[in-house]
This record gives sequence, C-alpha cells and structure tokens, in this order.
Amino acid sequence: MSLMNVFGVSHSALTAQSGRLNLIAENLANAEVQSGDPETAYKGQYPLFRSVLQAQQGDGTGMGVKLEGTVEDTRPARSSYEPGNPLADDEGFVYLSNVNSVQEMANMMQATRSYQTNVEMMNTAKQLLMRTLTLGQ
Amino acid sequence: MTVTGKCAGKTGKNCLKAYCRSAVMSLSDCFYAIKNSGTVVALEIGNEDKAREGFTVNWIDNVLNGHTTALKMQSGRAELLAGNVANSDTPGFKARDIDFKTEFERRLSGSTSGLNITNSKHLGMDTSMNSQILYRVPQSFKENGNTVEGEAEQAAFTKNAIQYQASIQFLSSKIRGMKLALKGE
Repeated sequence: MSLMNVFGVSHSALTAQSGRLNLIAENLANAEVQSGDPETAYKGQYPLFRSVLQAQQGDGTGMGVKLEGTVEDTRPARSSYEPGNPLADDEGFVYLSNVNSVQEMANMMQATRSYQTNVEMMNTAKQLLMRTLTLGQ
Repeated sequence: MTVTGKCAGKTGKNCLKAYCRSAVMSLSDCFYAIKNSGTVVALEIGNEDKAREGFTVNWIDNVLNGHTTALKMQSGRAELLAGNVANSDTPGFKARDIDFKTEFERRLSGSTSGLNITNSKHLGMDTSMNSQILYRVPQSFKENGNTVEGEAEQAAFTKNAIQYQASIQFLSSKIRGMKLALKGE
C-alpha cells in the first residue's frame, strides 16, 4: 500500500524541517554575540538537505529528505567600533556574528510553511486510508 | 475455436495443456478463455470445477478491474507527490510524476510498454510504476537546480486525493451492488 509510504516520506520532511528550524533558532539566538576576534565570532549555520529513497515494502518510489549536515556561512563577521567594550581588540573593534536576522526570519517562515504542508499531506493520506478501510460498507 | 490447430497432433488433456502453455496464461485463465470462446474442451476432460473457478474469479476481477487499477496507481502517485513536496528545499532535486492517462491505459490493456510476451521464453518486463516515472518540466527555474513548485505539487496531490476518493466511492458502490445481487432482496 503506497499510501502508507506517504507517512514515511512526509515524516522524513518533518524531521528535516524541524532540524532546519533548530538551526535558525540557534542562528537568531547567537546573532548578537560579540567577540574580540573575527575568527571566533559566531558563524551562521545552514542546513544541507539531501533526498533519500525510502527503502520500504514493495516498489517504493517515495523520495524522502534528510538533513545531511550543516554548512557554515562564509560571509565576514560584522564589526562595530566600541573602544569601551572590554572585548574590543587593539583598534577598538568588537566582532558580531555574520547572521542576517531578516534573512533568518524569512528562512524560518519558509521552514514553517514546509512543515505545515507536510503535516497536511499526512492528514490527507490518513483520511484516504480511513476511507479505504470502510470500503464496501 | 479449434484447439487442434494449436496443439499439433496432441489430443484431449494433452492438447489443452499444450494450448494453455502456448498461450502463456495461468491454467485457470486459460480454461476461462477457452470456455469464453465457445468451446467445451475444458468441460469434456473433467475440469468443470477449474473452469468455473476461473470464471468466478475473472468475473469479479472484470467488475472491479478499472477501479482497483486506478486505486493502486493513485496511491502510488500520492507517494511520489509526497516525495516531491518533502524535497521542495533539496538542492538539485527533480520533481517526478507519472503520465496517469497513458499508464492507466497501458495497465488496462495489459501490455508492457508496447512489448507483449508472445513466447514462454520471453523475459517479463518491469511493469511496476518505477519504470514509468517521468520528470516534471518546471515553469520557472531555481538557482539550486530544484524543480519542485510547491503550489503545483500540492494542487496535484489534492487532486489526486480527490480522485482516489472517487475511485473508493465507485468501488464501494460496485461492492454494494454485488452484495445486493447476491442477497436477492
């Protein structure tokens, strides 16, 4: 019954998207962390998705998705001139993360929508299966 | 129908077996085919039960056939479309679908991609849906090579779900009809 595999596929997407939401939360939480060295400043993390064939019963054709890992944002750290800051370097600069909050918010919305869509898919599959169970009644 | 033409010199039961073998069908299907084409060979050699059994099974199959095929395909397609939606953010993922009409007609006609088994030595074709999957042509291109268009996929999934429900409805009615006929009330 291929409809059962919809659950597997959508579930993989839910896991991946919630992992992505975790990363976004981490990025936003660390957006304003200061550091005295651009090398040690917080670097934004981005998810790396990969599609995987769900090995299920029968001739499964469902492509699930997997959060394979994360990639680091390579943009330079933001700097701000604060000579009074105890973390400031010799030239009086402190370094903030390279996270762009607005971009992260947009990402978050996208992740949320993806998550919702997949929940919707599961719901539909469930309804169809329930109808199938009452076949002939 | 003249079976003698098919079995070249063999008689009775042997002839029937030879015929069925050359026709590459299951024995009960073969008996049914013979019975349907107006011959009494199957009955003559004491296979009435076999013939009847084949007939009953085929009758139910015939009544439900189109809808069960549609149902199988629709559930397979739901899985495929769910995969597309799940991968809407995966770089390089290509959205996939099947050509429902073509595939449905192919399944109903029982042909395997235009290649029919005409000899028992022929290898069977891969008739699963795996071999019939096509890639969708996207309306717009994304930079990361992903061709999934979320709204289109969701629309297709919903449409497919409604069609699935319709098939279920038709099947339900068929089954109810058959039940009514069997009860005779």
